[in-house]
Amino acid sequence: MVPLPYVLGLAALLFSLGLYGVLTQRNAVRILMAIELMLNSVNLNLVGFARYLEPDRPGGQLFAIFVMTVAAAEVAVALAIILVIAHRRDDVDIDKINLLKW
Amino acid sequence: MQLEQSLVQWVGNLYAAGLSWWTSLGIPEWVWVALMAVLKGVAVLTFLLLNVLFLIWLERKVAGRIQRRPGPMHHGPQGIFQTLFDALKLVIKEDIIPSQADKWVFITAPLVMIAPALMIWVVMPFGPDLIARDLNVGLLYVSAVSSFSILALIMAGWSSNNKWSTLGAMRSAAQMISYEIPLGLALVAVGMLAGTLSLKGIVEAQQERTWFLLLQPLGFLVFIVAATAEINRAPFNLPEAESELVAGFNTEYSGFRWGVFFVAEYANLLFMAGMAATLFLGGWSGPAFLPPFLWWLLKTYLFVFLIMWVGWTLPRIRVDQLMELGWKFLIPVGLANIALTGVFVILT
Amino acid sequence: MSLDLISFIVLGIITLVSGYLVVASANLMHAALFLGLSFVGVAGIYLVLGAEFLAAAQILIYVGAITTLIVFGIMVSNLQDLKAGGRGVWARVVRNLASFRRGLVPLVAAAGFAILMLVIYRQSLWPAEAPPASGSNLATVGRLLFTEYVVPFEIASVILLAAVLGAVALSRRDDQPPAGSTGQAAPAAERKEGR
Repeated sequence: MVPLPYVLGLAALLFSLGLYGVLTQRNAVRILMAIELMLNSVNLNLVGFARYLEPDRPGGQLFAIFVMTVAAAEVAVALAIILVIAHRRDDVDIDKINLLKW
Repeated sequence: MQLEQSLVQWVGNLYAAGLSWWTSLGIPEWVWVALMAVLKGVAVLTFLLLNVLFLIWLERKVAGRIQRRPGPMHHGPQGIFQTLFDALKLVIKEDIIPSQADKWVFITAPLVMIAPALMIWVVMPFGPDLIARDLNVGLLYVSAVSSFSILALIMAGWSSNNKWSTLGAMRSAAQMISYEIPLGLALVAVGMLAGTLSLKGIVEAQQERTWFLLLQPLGFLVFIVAATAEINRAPFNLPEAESELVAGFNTEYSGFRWGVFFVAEYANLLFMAGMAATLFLGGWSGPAFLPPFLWWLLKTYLFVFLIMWVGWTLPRIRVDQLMELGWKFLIPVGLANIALTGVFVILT
Repeated sequence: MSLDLISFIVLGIITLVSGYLVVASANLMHAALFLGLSFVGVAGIYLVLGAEFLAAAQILIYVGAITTLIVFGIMVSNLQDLKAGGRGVWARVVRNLASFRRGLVPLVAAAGFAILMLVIYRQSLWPAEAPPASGSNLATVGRLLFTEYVVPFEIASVILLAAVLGAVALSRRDDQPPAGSTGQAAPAAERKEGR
């Protein structure tokens, strides 16, 4: 059996990879991917806890399912927005998409 | 029936004896389990590849008969060794990777295509005990693993750096995403009726009641059309439409890599036919004068022939017709079928 | 060492390495494909943890839908990766070390988070052995989903509907008559019509 800290450690490493990606990347699509990595690491955490703490009522797995649903919705809408921006401005650099900032 | 049962028992005894011998040597049990899993995989693989060789020959023969010509006739009686020689030719051909291609994606794409096409056979019940692993999420596993092939087609088309390939890949992605939904809806209705997602459980549920073909005529219709589109067979073979797109996503592929795509395509054809037989015609169940495995094979080849027959009879449909059929006909019918099945399950 | 632990380690390495390459690889398409590989690794870990339903759902949703959507989006719109200077991520890190936004601060934040969590996990007391799960995972999850969690389930369906509408509305071109001819839900498919 896999010890719980291993699962949590893996999730933490994956989360920090995603975090670094979100903070440093300028390409909107790349940031979207990094967010997906972070969501996955959260799911890993939830499933790991569900397995160890309540194997008969895995509420963590249910939460992971809802996270997946929302992630799918999020990607669909975010990608549509990015594609519209790319179509209008020929650029997906989020540093240059600052119309609402001023 | 008797022969197959005793054969399965003999193998089971051999397995148990081997396990006890193995643990007496002091090597942990899981090594034996892993080794046996590999052996099982090899057995399924061999069966599959033999069938694919036969299927390619059968396809050419069926096509020939439908177009009033004999098909391949040299190399063995009725040209039965033709595919074997074709395969040999493909293996010894030069391996070409276009210089502008994205090399690693180009090389990986056939692997991503063939791996799920083989993995998916894990849950196929060939007989009451002839099943590599009876997963309780069987149907979900099938739809999950088969969704890899979309990615493989996109990888192949994009990495070739060729407009025909890219067009074929884009078409195939749109087509397969669209038809995965009705396919899933049909599977859901079957799972509701059987009360389980395990394929073995579905066959047993059909033994208790009747064939689901009779209880699920709408579901069957949706399933067989969506399955034909999902494996890119004519009349839904737009991704490789040879008269408009050269060869679609595999235009740039040659030699062995092209052969891998070809094998995966026929493995998927056989799997979808096997699924249709298992889900709607009772799979391996049948009168006892034939062993269960032969019943499965018979029903599967019935569907293989049906798909080939339809494919070589109807002309290829247009992209907009394809989308209209998928979104405006199959998905509403699939949803209605689920609602009807729900009412039926509650009433009975 | 059991089979579980070995599979976990192998899958964990696959997940982490491909996760790293999502952030680091120079080619946007490669990053998307590595994202798919890392999802597959996570699905394998779900299997090791006994969440079969979730593993299948992960493959179906993340690999079959999300990765395909991203790859399709990249392909259709010809999104090029921004030329961020150096080839690899480390060259970029070194070059941007002085910059506040993309240099040291994100690196320290990410590495600090990972180290902090690992230290906490090391020092806490965890249940050493998982209690054996009873019954099939599928039946448990299904029952919970339609009893205790039925309200979130319904809300999720509303969210999905809203997302479908939003994606279709966003990706419709303004200069065309309303694309009522094909009611595709996926923005990817919709784009295809628009081009």
